[in-house]
Amino acid sequence: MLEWLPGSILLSLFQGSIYVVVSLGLTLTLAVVKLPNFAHAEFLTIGGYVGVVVSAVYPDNLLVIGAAAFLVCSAIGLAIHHIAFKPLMDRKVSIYILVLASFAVAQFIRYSVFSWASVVGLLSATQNIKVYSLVTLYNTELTNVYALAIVLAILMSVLLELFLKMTRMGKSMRAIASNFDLARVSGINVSRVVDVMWIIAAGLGGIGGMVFGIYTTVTPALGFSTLLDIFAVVIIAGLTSFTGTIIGGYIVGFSQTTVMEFLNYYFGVSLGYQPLLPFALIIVILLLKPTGLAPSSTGLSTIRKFARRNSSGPREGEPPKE
Amino acid sequence: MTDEPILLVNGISKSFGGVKAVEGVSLSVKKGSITGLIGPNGSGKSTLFNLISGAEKKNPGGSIEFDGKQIDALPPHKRSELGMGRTFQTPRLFPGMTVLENTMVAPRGQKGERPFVAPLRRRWEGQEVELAKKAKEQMTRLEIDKLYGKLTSEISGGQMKLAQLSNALMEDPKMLLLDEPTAGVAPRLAQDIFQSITNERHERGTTFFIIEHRLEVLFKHVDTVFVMHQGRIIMEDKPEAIVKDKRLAEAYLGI
Amino acid sequence: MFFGLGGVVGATVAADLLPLFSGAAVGNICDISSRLSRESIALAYPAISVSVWVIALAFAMLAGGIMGLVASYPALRVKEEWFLSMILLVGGETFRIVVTNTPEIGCGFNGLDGITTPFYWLSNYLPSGPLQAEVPTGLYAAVIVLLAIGCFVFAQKICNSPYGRLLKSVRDDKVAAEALAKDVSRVRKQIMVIGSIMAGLAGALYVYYIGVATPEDYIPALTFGIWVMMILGGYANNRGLLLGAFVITMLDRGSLVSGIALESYFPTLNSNLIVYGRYMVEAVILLLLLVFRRKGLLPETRVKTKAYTLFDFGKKNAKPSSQPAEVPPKGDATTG
Repeated sequence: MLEWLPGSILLSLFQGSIYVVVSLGLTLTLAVVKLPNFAHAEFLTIGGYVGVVVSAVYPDNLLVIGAAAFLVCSAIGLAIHHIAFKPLMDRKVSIYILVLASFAVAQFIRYSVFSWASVVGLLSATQNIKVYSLVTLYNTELTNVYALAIVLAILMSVLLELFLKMTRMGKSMRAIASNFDLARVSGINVSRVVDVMWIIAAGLGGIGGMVFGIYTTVTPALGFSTLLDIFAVVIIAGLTSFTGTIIGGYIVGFSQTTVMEFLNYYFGVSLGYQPLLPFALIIVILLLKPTGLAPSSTGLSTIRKFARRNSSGPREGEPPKE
Repeated sequence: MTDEPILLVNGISKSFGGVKAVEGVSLSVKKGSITGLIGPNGSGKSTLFNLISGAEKKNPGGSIEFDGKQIDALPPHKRSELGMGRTFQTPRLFPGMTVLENTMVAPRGQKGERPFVAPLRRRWEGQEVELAKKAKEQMTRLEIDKLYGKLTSEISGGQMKLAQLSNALMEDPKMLLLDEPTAGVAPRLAQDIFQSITNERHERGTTFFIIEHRLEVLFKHVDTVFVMHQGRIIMEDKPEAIVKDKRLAEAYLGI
Repeated sequence: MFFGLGGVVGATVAADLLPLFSGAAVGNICDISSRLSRESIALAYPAISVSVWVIALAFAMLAGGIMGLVASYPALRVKEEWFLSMILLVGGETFRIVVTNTPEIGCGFNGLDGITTPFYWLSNYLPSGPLQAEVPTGLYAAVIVLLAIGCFVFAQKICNSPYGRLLKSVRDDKVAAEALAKDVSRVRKQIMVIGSIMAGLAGALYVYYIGVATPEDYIPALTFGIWVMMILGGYANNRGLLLGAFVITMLDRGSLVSGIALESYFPTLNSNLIVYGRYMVEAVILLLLLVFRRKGLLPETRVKTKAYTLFDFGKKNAKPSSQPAEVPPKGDATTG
């Protein structure tokens, strides 16, 4: 009757954990530089491929593979920030232009990966990491990948929280997130903090991609296929809340797996429609409650202020000035 | 001027988060009058205008009546259709368009504004020429006719104020809410602006409700003045009486 | 999304009506035999084949328009500008996923093929040889060009009218437009419907040209290419769009030709690289434009109506009448 359920819940937890790790990076980007980075999902692809390449040399060495994925993505994150986004942000363009630019960056990265993968014959690749069962409960195997993802999600959330609360760099980052101009005049080296932000955000995307790549086949379209799911997570989170991101990650994870399998099992809904549930979440939340489901103090209002400041065009609902 | 009110505001408020920008304001503006609204910075004047024109939503409670109609629930463009025009403190023009195009957008009910009439030039060209004549007259009066081909993002702040006024007047409104029409305008031109406001009132009976910081100019032309302080109306009187009242100085000095 | 919808609807209508009008059994429009019967009907009955084409276009436009109206509902209610891109992206992907996974719509993943051009029957009257296939296709291409010119003229007329002014005002400053009694949401709704009708038409025309409607054609890279065309030519400039479309299409065709040429010299070269390279070049072009020339190649045009003649009148050595002093736009004032 319900024999599919435990496995499905476990899979949901796994997927949710991946979403949490990857989306934390996007939330950070949104909070600090107010950039809805549509290229963020490409870090997932890159992380997956780094896993493929490095695991060919160091099979099963998760630490080395993970570190490599983190570092490569950090480097790429820094590069796209300095090549594409920083020149635009320095010109104080509207958020809409930044969105377009991030689409361009995403397309460039995606097809670079396509080209490379097609030359070396890795358009569809797997990582050389052994998957084995740790425990079996209710006929369901808890494999090392699942455990790794779940532990990683918890670890990364805690580390990020500690970093933001405890370290000087983290505090500066929060200051920039809540008021960019104030942070700058109060002597914070904004560009260095933003660089660190990109290192962490892109790195998290890379690690998430690498772990996801153990479970699934790595293709150049891996990132793009999860792009909207990741955005669903941060939109549920109200764009800038870290707690919200963790909750959102698991909501999307469960909606894609357990809820979908439930619908499939009892109502015969085709599993091909799987991505539609997060889509529905995106639309409903954007329309009804754009501040997300999780409470957030700075959240959207910061972005709104930023967008207004940066666009010399239309301004809506400006606060009174007299 | 008659004693009949054109605008009746009854107990409206607005808060932003915890801050009450406008608190229980009631006032009435007489038809055909020039009415001033003054007060120190941050006293809620622009917010009050935004509530009246519908650019911002008031808190529940209270009512706004314009020309005998309840308008609180109407969207801003409907209020404007009823004949309520407005200008903004920081000029809001269409930056991607020239001064002439800006002025030509303003008239209501243009035939060529319907998408399926637009391609048929003959249907709207006559009206267009009429409106253009009016626009030219208007712009000449406000001394901005030479700027017709300039983008509004390229002209000076004072010129923007004038262009905005010209936009608002193109519609033949019954009442105009002017938010600091002379800020950033040369002193001589400020006099002229008020002169044309007075003329407009005499010729067409337009009601003017004006926020202004240049009290010396304002007081020469207005019939009644409201003084606003900390979100409330604290005085309403003739300009001669207001200048003598020491509460005005207190409000401005922040005592 | 609207483009794809037009394609799928056009193809489905064509596939259902062809046999219906000619008295053949409709049957399952997805299987091979029905494809063959479509082709033979198109070959045998000129009148039916042309009229079905017209009806298919009409349905595609209708579907595009309805979808545009539906999409304008959420699109007008979002709080941030970029939420709109989000919603349209979600809409596009939803469309693709639904079509791919629902065999009842456009035959699902496999797509619907055997949609011949409306002039396929001409090949009956032509001597066999390469011309037999080329003439109907060429003729159809000419019809597409004519329709494109029609759309362009329509767009130009709309832009040079009070409605064009209204559109620009709504784009530039919503609040100011409302203060001038303009119904901003109605204007946005209208233009969204007009735009998606055109996209629906384009989708159906395209399907008739390539002969098959598959969901895999409607990938985001296509929309991306259109953005690049638009920004390359200049935001509010219809001629600019033509220029942009020309450059990007040249890039597309050029990459195909150069790809074939390269392959003959380097037989080992991976042919996919050409396609990928093209997408990468498009991305680079867009980035460069955004950073260095956000206004595109051509400046925004003025709304040319008779209003300008009143002002130019009397200036003896002014520019030709109805041509305002063309001021190159500065800054990103209109892009916000």
